[in-house]
Amino acid sequence: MAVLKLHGTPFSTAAMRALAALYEKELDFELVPVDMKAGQHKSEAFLALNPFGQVPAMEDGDLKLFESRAITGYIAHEYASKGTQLVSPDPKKMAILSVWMEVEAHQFDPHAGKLCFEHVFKKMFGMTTDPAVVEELEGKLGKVMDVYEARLTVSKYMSGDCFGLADLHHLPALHYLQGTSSKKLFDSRPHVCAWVADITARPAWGKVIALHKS
Amino acid sequence: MGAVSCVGFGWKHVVFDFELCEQFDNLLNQKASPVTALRPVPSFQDESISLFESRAICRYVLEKYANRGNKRLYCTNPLQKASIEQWVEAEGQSFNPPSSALAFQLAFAPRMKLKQDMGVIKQSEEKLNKVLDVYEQRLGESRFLAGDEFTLADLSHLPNTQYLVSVTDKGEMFTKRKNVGRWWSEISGRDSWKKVVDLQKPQPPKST
Repeated sequence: MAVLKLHGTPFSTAAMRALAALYEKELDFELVPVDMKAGQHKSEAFLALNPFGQVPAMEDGDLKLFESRAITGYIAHEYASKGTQLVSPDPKKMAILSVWMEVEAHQFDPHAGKLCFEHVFKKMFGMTTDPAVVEELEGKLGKVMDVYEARLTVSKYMSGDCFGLADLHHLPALHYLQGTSSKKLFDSRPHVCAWVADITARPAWGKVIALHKS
Repeated sequence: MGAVSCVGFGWKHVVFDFELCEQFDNLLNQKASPVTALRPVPSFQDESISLFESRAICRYVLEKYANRGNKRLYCTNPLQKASIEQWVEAEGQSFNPPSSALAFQLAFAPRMKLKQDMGVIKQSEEKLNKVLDVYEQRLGESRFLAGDEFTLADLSHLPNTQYLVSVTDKGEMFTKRKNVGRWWSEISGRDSWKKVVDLQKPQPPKST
């Protein structure tokens, strides 16, 4: 019986973030499906795992956690000796990594997440993409991408010299947006373009995407 | 000791806990580096390292000075740390967006002579109320968000709540809820937070 359980759906960007970390660390885990169409994420049983009623939630033995970036952080530190190194033992390198993790969470994701909603999730729910909203969001995300282009000119990865959590956290939104007209935001910036191609080609990420087909 | 650059609205994110560090140099230094052009404050320098994003600054300081002052802010025990991080993330993802939007609309827009957006105010208040309902339940089970001790998870909530409670008429959202009210009273009453709030008051001129 798996000790590590992740509750969620593989289509949720937040759940995909946690899944990416689990695969990078080569951990055995059980993906417990949450039927969001049926409102299972608002059930009493799920609210006991995450009082905000959002996926994912994680169980590791007696430990219960929610918030995807707290889950990836826990996995990265607790299982530091397994799989890919996702954090740095050097405090200064870890601090820089932490800065760019915050940038993903508070500068990138607010706009990228809404773009994913407009392009991808609205269609899933039978709604129509609003081109004016897309244009506004692309303007805002474009300014963030200018900062990323500058960062990636001096650093191979957002995390530093090596792939780490600050890169991994971007994968779900990048994956969805690469299938939309908004991919021009990445294609038009050479260092961003190369970085996106590099990190989305990782085998562990391929395993997350494979879940969409099964 | 590190130097912190903070400008105006950036006080929203000055979450340094004076329980950890006795003094800062150049607290009112107005420089902002080009890398931080998107959100210039706060920025932090300590020896050779330059950081931005307030929660990253907090984590660095708390890790580096783990043996100074209040040692329970950011536990070394991995399970407790995971629980703290969970609530720091909840603050960043669920609490901060509506509370900072409300603080901006109600506390800052009038000062900056900007028109308030009533739609944003209504939407933010609705969202924040839902978040505070979750907090009310949590704080009925636990004295502080991550457990029995005051940690980074609680500290992260101080700046936005301070603005809402002291400068706007939305403080009731916190004080009318029994557990949230008790928690707010406790965390805002800490000496370290009072020192931060005092920094916002006009400082007497230094004698030369």
